[in-house]
Amino acid sequence: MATHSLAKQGLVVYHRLTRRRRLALAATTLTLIPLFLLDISIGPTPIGLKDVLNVLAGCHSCSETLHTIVWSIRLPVALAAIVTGASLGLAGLLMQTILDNPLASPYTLGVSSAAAFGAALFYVFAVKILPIADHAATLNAFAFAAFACWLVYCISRFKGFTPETLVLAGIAIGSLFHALLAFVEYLASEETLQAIVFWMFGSLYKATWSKLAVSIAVLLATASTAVYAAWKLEALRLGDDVAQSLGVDVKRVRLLAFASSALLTAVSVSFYGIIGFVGLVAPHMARILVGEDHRFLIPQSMVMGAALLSAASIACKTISPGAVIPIGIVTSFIGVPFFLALIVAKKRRYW
Amino acid sequence: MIVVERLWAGYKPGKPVVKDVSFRVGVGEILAIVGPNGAGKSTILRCLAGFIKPLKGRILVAGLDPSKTPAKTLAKIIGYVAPDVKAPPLLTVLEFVMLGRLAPRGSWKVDSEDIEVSYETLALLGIEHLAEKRLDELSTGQRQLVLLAQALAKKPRILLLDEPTASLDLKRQHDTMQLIYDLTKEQGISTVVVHHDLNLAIDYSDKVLVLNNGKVKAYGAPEEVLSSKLVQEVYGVEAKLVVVDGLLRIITLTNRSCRRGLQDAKLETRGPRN
Ligand SMILES: Nc1ncnc2c1ncn2[C@@H]1O[C@H](COP(=O)(O)OP(=O)(O)OP(=O)(O)O)[C@@H](O)[C@H]1O
Ligand SMILES: [Mg+2]
Repeated sequence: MATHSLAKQGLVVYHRLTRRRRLALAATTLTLIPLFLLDISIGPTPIGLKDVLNVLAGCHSCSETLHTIVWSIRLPVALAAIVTGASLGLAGLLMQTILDNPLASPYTLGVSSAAAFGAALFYVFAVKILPIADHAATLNAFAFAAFACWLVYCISRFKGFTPETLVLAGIAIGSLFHALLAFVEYLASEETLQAIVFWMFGSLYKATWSKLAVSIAVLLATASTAVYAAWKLEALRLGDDVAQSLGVDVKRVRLLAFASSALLTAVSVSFYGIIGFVGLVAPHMARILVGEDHRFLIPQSMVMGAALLSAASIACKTISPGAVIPIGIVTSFIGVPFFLALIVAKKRRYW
Repeated sequence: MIVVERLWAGYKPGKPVVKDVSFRVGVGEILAIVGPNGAGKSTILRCLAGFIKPLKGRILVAGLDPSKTPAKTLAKIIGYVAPDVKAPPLLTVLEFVMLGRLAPRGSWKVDSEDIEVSYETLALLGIEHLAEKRLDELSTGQRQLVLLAQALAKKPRILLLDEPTASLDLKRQHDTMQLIYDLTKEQGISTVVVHHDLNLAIDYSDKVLVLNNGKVKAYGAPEEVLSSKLVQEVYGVEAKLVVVDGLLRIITLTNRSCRRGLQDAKLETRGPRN
């Protein structure tokens, strides 16, 4: 009888621990709805929230133009903000977990420089890596991002595929592509240089329904894999030795997470350019909210990323009506104060 | 059951730190390994747990060769306790203990049994009140108990404990070792425990293995193999073996003590603050 009540007490404690996490996750997920609707309603032609809802519900009485604006411009961009934000949040979390480093972000291992170099190759020399007519810059960027990740993997594998070798290989490869990019930029004409710079700034206005389909598929696949392996990822946080003693095939899990993160990042960079800060900060905000339990931390990082990028997308349009400030710039403006506030408010150590 | 035959192990080929070690730990038996710093005690445990491959020799742990068995399978039968752990501060104690059961399983699902057993194990070690604390809020000794709880909550058939009582207070040292001893007997576990405290090794073991420079200096029941000559040889410390109230004690004697030269006062009978 004594042990019976002890077991019950354990369940009570466990549910008390998880209830807070459930609440945090649910509450932040709900805030995505107003952000999403606001993102659709704000723009050069403001659309009332009621109209937004009406059009989304497929009303027939709405005007043709309203229909077009919402369905072919605003909605893809608003969805891209959510999906890309979630992708970068997840990619950043996976990087921080496998590199065991709070400074890690989706771009730590050089993916962004490699992708930018690929895009620049097209703009400057019209080089097409893949024999496909359309979307050459995007495909080049993706190909080079993937190639860089593969190089990083091969190099670090020589020394046991540990966090340290991954970081060092990533920084080396990243610098290499950075230098290559600078060299191509040096050779570029002023016009093409502008194209490259603008490509790198990151903009969600490149969103199309087919791009969205690809990023949603990648996000769903990687997120479900990550959630399934939640406890193994969490065990990695205890260091390789302990994780191994807990039955985790450390190298396999690290490779899986690395591949997922690389894929998410490559897709988002090649589609929308470099959007900084989200992937670094979203996982930290999530960690402060729900702790290390990766079953919650994974979706929470995605939600924080989505919320951040959605808010940034709204801010882009409200700061300077008419001109569209690249979202890559705005994310930092929005994120930094929020992030600092969270860290200052939380007095205890959290990494 | 653990069988180790002519084990050579080390971290670089050609530089063994464990040399020709053999022993056997039956079901429900507890073996204590003692020896100076760097003798190779932890290395033996790491071989048994499958973290490093032996250079030579044969190891069987519950019928399996750890160097050829997947980590997942080993983790389900072996409870390994490291001297300390680097843990992310936001992890809670209950979660950390549950991780031992959940990580090898490969699914994100948590059964209520995982929660119940983990909490009961904390209670067994007398630290259930810490369940909701974060790992960085614990004292060193409390963290050591939590580490032990993680291993015990797996209900392992093999226990490998590396200095599990090093940071515990006097009473906790004995309570914890008694618990490990009882569990070993009741549940038919095969336990190997590394100690620096020779008296703890004597009190809670069926056999001791004295290791020096990677070689076995003595192996057998404590009262049969330990001697003051052995302690002198292995540690370079003068010691006396005495029996007090039917218990074998090793008392270290050193002429370097700043308290030497005391008269044999009636220390035993006086009360505190006297
Ligand atoms: N990771 C490692 N790489 C290389 N050499 C190591 C490593 N770990 C231990 N050694 C060496 O192996 C020898 C045995 O180390 P081991 O950790 O087994 O000693 P120990 O008996 O557990 O000592 P202690 O009582 O201090 O814990 C030592 O000489 C040590 O320098
Ligand atoms: Mg040791």
